[in-house]
Amino acid sequence: MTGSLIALAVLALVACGPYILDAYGIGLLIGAVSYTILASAWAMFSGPTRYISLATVAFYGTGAYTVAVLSEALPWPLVLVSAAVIGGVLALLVGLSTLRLAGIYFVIFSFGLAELIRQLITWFEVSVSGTLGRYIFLELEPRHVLWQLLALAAVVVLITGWIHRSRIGLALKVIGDDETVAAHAGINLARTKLILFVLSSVLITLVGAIQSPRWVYVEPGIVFNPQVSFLTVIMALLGGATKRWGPVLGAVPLFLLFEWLSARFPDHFSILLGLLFIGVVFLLPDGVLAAIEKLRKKKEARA
Amino acid sequence: MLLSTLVFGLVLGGSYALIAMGLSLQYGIARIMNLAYGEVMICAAFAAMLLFNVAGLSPLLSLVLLVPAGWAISWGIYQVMMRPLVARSGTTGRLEVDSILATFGLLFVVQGVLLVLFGGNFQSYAFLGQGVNVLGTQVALNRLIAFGLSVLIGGGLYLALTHSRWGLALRAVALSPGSAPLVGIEVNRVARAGFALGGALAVAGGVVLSMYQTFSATMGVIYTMKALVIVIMGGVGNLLGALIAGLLLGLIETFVSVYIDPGLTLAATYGLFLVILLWRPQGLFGGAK
Amino acid sequence: MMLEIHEAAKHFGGVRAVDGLSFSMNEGEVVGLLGPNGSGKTTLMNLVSGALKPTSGDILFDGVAIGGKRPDVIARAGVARTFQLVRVLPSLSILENVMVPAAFGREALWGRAAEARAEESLARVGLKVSPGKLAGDLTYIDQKRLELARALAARPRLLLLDEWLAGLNPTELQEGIALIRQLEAEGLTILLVEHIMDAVRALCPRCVVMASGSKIADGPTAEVLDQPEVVAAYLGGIDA
Repeated sequence: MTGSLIALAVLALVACGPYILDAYGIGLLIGAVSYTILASAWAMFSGPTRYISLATVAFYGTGAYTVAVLSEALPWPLVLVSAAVIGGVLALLVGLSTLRLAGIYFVIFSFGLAELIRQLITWFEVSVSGTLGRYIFLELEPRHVLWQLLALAAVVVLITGWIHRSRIGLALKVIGDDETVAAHAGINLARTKLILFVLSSVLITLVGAIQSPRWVYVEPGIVFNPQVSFLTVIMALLGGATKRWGPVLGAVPLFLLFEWLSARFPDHFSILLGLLFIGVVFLLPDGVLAAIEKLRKKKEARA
Repeated sequence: MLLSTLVFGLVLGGSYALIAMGLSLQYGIARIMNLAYGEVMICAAFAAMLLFNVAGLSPLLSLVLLVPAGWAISWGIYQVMMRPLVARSGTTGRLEVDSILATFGLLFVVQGVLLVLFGGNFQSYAFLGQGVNVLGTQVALNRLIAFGLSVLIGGGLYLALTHSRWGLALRAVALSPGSAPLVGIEVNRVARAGFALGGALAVAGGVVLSMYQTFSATMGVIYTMKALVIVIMGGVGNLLGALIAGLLLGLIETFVSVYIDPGLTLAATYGLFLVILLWRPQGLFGGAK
Repeated sequence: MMLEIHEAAKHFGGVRAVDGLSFSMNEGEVVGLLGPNGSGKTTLMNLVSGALKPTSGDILFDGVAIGGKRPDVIARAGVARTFQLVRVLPSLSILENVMVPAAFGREALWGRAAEARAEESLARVGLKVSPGKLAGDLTYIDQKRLELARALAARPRLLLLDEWLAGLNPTELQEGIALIRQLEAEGLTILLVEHIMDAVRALCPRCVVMASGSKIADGPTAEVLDQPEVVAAYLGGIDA
């Protein structure tokens, strides 16, 4: 409870950012908040279930592309609702076909999903609508984007708090410990995973939709950038995907580091990213928070 | 048209089968889900191109050089990267998740290196492009050679695995890593050999494919995806299944690309994958679990 | 009939772990399932609990077909089990462990009601709750107790115990037997796999004996244990 309140207070504080910061600063805040939500939403599903989703950008890009297609036809709130619905339906289809099977099927499916959607949209745009690339003209300034993202972040805080206290939270903890016991205690594994996956995917889709006006020009190759999936996973893992505040802890510092790296070494960014990722998997397999906890336990045992 | 599509499909399918067999070995024997598999393949394709363009070396000769190199490099990757993860996971089943994450990282490293070296454009080289008459249709000689190589390497490996002591040990570990030590098989050594052999096959597949296909630094992901789908289709660890499923996928892709739209080949792969997941997740040729 | 098994079979590739086995249990009955190692006892338990799907045959629980259903569906129908190798949920507290089946079982209790049920189940097996203690930190006997309490928290109508008494020292064994006997007295239907013959004699009026996937004897415990084919199966099992 206190955790949620503190988080909401921090979000309110960040909302004052546009009154002090310049455009570059606001841009940084938008990026940091985006990735915080992405990593939290990713960990919401993949943390307890250990089903590694490599499809973050599939949903993120779908959100952005929905805006590109619908932004002139519908009022903004309805565009967001449409994006959420499309992301949710997509997640439902993916989940229904993979989540009743072993985790590996889900990983494989998610691995190529973004590429599939990218190619499908490209095919559709080239051969049906005849235009590759669209413009997003919206009366939204960066600070509006930031505030909407903060509102979404507040929703994420409330949802995770609710999950924590609800039956589905207990079900997830049990699934994370032992799926066989979970099933024999009456927990419907496939349905629990499906609910979480859809919820997580809708949040990711909304992040893509809300921050899409920042691009102005959108085409499949831009919005389905695999680095987004990659960054999300590494952030969540670094902080600790099973800890409630782990993803936040991973997202903010890593986003700033990546910003600096990509400006400094634009050509070698992907290599550095990969090496960093491998380092995290090897050195901090359960995240920073779990590592700290372990250290503290060791100290206590010695004392 | 139909006949040439069929021939092209079989040629492509042969290469796919070869690639998928390697991934199946790595996953079936070493229990490593290698997401950087396609990158190894693309590296081999670039290496074959360089050897051809710079040294004038025929890809057939490069194959002889590169396949052992692929074995050695994969052997090293297993020893340096995978072995610690295997040791750490013990019997907890963590290895699957850890190996997925570690090779996901590796994918970006290799792709980044390739992008720095070769840029993001599509590449190809002109090797034996003259046409040959096959059953009344013109087929480029390089495709025929590629198909022949796929059959030779894939078939040879299949026979070696099913008819030698060494193959028996590999298959024993694939079936039951827990009980293999009971009959005197050193699981770690076999797992490493399986991973290295898979890497060698990835290289062979990459070189063979580069003879007749264009490729780019970022295409590895797509080949990994296709190989994974073929492995699932054929049944994990089932080499004959991978062979048949590979040919099937090559045919389906070629037909979709010729008769429907070339932009929809990956969609066809995914469609097939979806059907398998919903209908027979244990694979076309696997028994019911 | 509480449980009816008709010609149930489970094949793994060419191995027939359970090969056309039939028997049934009345409400309130306690039946011992015996047989040498590898005779298919645990596989049969897994077929009843839904951990495995039968290759063929029918399993009816209280007249309803449950063979091949998902384990959570079978659990909600009123079947609970313990596992051969004890499986507590290590990162959950003791109370949470036991709350799980109460929350997701037939009655779907939540909040205070689920906690009360968990406390009651823990009291029944004689396990004290130390708040905040994780289940993974318990001793072996207490983990076994916890697993039984968890099975009871759903108020099952059929309890499957897979070698629940194995690995206990003589004192603990006596306590364990007394505990199961108390459940028996309360009218619970129990199917138990057990190797400890003293416990079988003390707890089960009736036994079913399996060998290589088939039933070779079924009847009052004392008679069954004297049957020559049962003796032979056990001696054969020890030889192998």
